[in-house]
Order: sequence, then C-alpha cells, then structure tokens
Amino acid sequence: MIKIQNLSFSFLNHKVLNNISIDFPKNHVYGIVGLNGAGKTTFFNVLSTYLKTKTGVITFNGSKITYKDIAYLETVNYFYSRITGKEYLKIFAQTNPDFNLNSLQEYFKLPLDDLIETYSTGMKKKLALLGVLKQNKQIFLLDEPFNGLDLETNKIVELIIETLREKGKTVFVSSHIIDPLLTVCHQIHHLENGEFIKTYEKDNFHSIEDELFKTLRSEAKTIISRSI
Amino acid sequence: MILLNIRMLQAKRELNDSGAGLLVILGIISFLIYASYTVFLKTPDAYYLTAFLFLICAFLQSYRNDKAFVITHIRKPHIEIYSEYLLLTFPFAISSLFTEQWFCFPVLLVILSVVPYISYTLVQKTYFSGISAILPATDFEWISGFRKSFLFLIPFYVLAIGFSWFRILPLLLLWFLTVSVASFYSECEPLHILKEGGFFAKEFLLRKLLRPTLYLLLLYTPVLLINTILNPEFWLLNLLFIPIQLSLLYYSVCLKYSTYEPNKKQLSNSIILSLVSLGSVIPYLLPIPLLLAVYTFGKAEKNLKEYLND
Repeated sequence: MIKIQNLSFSFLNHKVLNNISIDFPKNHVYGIVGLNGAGKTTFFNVLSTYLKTKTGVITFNGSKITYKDIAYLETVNYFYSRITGKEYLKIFAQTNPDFNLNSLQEYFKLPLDDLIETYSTGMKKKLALLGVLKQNKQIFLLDEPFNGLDLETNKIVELIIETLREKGKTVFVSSHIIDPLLTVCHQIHHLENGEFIKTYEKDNFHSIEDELFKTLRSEAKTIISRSI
Repeated sequence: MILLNIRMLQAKRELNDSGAGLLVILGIISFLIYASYTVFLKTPDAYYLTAFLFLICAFLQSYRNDKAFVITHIRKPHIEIYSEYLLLTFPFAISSLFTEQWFCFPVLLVILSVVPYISYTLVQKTYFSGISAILPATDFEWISGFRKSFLFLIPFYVLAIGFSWFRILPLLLLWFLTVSVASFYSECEPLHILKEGGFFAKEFLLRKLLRPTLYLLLLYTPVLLINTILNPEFWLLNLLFIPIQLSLLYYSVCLKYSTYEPNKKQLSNSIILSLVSLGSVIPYLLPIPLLLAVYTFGKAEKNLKEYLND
C-alpha cells in the first residue's frame, strides 16, 4: 500500500501540490490525468523522491518511501552525451532477472550501437523505458510513456504495463492521450490545481473525457470562435 | 535579430550561473582580445588568425543542427546566421583595425558571408563502439570524453610513451592528457543515473575518485617508470607528478558534484578548471589543485546529500 498524507509542494510561492491525502493499494495500475499545469509531473517527481517535500509523508508498506522502491520514466529523457544505447543500458545493474533485451529488441528495434544523440524522440523514450524495465522495483512511475511512440510500440507499452501488474508491481501512468489509460488502468485519478478531485473506477471511465475537458471546452469554444 | 537575442539570453543565463567565475570568464576574454591584437601586429600571423577565425565559424556551421529550422522558420535566415558569426568574431577581429593589418577586418567580414550558406551537417559517427568492453559503462564520463577527444588523446599518449626517455617532454604531454581528462567532468548526468548505485553522498564521491586514480596510474606509470630509469635524477619529480595530476583530477570531479544539477552542462566550471590546471605546472602554485580538491570535496558532499541521502 502506498499511503500519502497531507502532501504539499510549492515552487517559489506557488503551491503545485495542495495537501494531498490518498491511499493506493498495491498491485494496481493507476492513471493520473489532468490538464496542463495540474501538477502531474510534480506529483511523480515527489513520489519518486526526486523532489523533497517539507510537508507530508509518503509511505510504502508502512515505511518511508525511498528511491530503492521506485523505477521512474520521466516525461523528457535526458541522456549523457556521446554514449551509445547499449552503454546507457549497461549503466543500470540488471536486478530484474526476467529482463531479456534481445527479446524486447524484436519489437523496439533500437540501433543500440549508435550514439543516443542520433535517436528520434520515440527511440529515446523506448531506450529510457528499457532502462526502467531492467530494474526490479516495486513501483513503476511512467510519466507520459506513450509520447512520441508509433502505434505499434504504444500497444507494446500497454502490454508491458499489463505484465508489470501481473508480476505484482504497482504502476502509475500519466498521459495526455486518454485512450491507452482506459485500457490499462484499474483506477484513474483526476488531478486539478494540485489536488485529486475525483477517482474514476473502470465502470465510469467513459465519463472522464467529458468531465476533464468540460470547462476547457466551454471556455475555449468561445475564445476560438472569436479568434479564427 | 532573433538569433542574436536568443544568444544574448543564453549568455546572460550562463553568466548569472557562473557566480565568481564571471570575473575569470571576463579575464580570459580580455586576454584573448589582447592576444589577438598582438598577433595582428605581425604578418603573416595576422593572415593566419583571420583564416583561423573563418575556419572556426565554418566548423561551427557544419556542426550546428538547427540550420534547417532557422532557414524554415526565421526571416532572412542567412543574415541572421551571418550576424551570429560576426558577433562571435568581432571582439577578436576588431583589434586588427588598430594595426597595419587593418584590412584583415573587412576581409573577414566578406569571407564570413559565405559561411551561412554551408548547408552540409557533419554526421555524428559512433567511434569505438566496443569501448564499454574495456571501460565499465558506469564510467560514462570517460567513455563520452574519450569519444570527444580521442583525436588528440591517442597521439599525445603515444608521443608520451615514444618520448618517455626525454627529460621534461613526457611530463608535459601527460599534463595535457590530465587537463583533457579533467574536462570530461563538465556534464551532469540525469538524476536516475546518479541514484543508480544507491550510495550515500560520501561513498558515491569516493567511488567517483577511485576510478580515475586507477586509470591514471595504469596510463602514466609506464611512461614515468621508463623516464625514471633513464633519468634517475628526476625520480622525485616523477614521483610527485602522479599525486599532482590526481589532485587536479579530483578537483574536477569534486567541482562537478559541488555544482551538480541534473542534466546540466557546466560551461563555467570548464573555465575555472582550465585556470586551476595551470596551477599544476607552475611550481609555487602546485598545492592549489590539492587544496581546492579538499575544499570542494566538502561542498560536493553537501550538494549531493540533497539528491542522494534518501
């Protein structure tokens, strides 16, 4: 169980996460949705311990959460210059005994002997994902894992998330494309202004898109019709 | 002048981050301007410098990968690019106007106008793709740095071995190698790589210092050993040479982690480092790299605690 109590986080004087208290039972796949600036990436950064908070507590199975529990795929993937894909993957100790690079390469088809600078955005995302999968962690945070990927790899990522869950892992996924979340998640949490305002169970996933974009649609429609 | 505005903003940001290094940067630029002036005083040196400035710009143009973007999205792209190279060379080229070789300045202005039309982009090739069989991937600074600088690292090392019976020359060549290796530590790795081993700050730093010690000993010992055998009167100098070089390397590692921010390239650190490198060859400045290494170790540990000690 991941337990978050009274979690707040501010950048300068702007509160990005606002007194969040929520429980996430383990071995589930959670979708995190929200409009731009809702605090999704900050939530992931805090959960991953990349950002340290002064207020609030996050525990995993009763103990304070640490980076050792977490594998984190960031939205934007930065790679050290002039190293190859293969060298990048070698940096990470293979703690996941089932990780088989050759098998995954049949689908990912990455030029692992080339410098990462020559990779496309989608290829970089796939490489970062391989680095994450090499590690045997209990919690997987995937921030926009579908970004820049082709249709085929999108499906592969969905299957990977499903498999992680089958192996007892807890997975958090954020995406600005709602469709894949509807397939892989058990619950989807709507984050707005740094607060979780609603939780959707599988039965009411159909209403997410309407509710998420309700305000935006009404406001934007007027502005767009006046502007173009 | 959209590109110039962007460059100004970038320069401003970099200078703001450099702190006390700002004075050093300004000092170096002033020195280079003065040095250019002295070169322009004589022929044919003035012609060589003009050609050198042109070649630098041509090289930069063939390496930049924003050419297609600039040409597609910015109005009068060639003038924009031209003005960038003018600004870059201006502080150095302008000094020619105060010499008899004043015509070098207008000549440079004319020949630089060709540079924006170089549309060829050098493709980055993967040299030494099997290097991780020798160096562990966790020493990514060395792998990356070797790929960037092997064109002079290898000849310098071969020369150092080849001339190892000479008196001072091999030491100078090895010193150049140390300075190059020290510059490997000017890029910050992403946080997940920093956290990968699960080490606490102090342990992490000590491990980071251990690897270069090993490599340096492996590379330098044969040269120094031959040199000592053939020039026994230099045994003390050769013996002291390794700790002096190591202290410079330790300083570069500690400097990187004392200012570590995930994914950041530390340009201002490179300038400070190149100045401290001089300290490792000027006799009465020899203790400086060591003292700085000790001082920055503490700073690095403190900074890394923010990221590592969960």
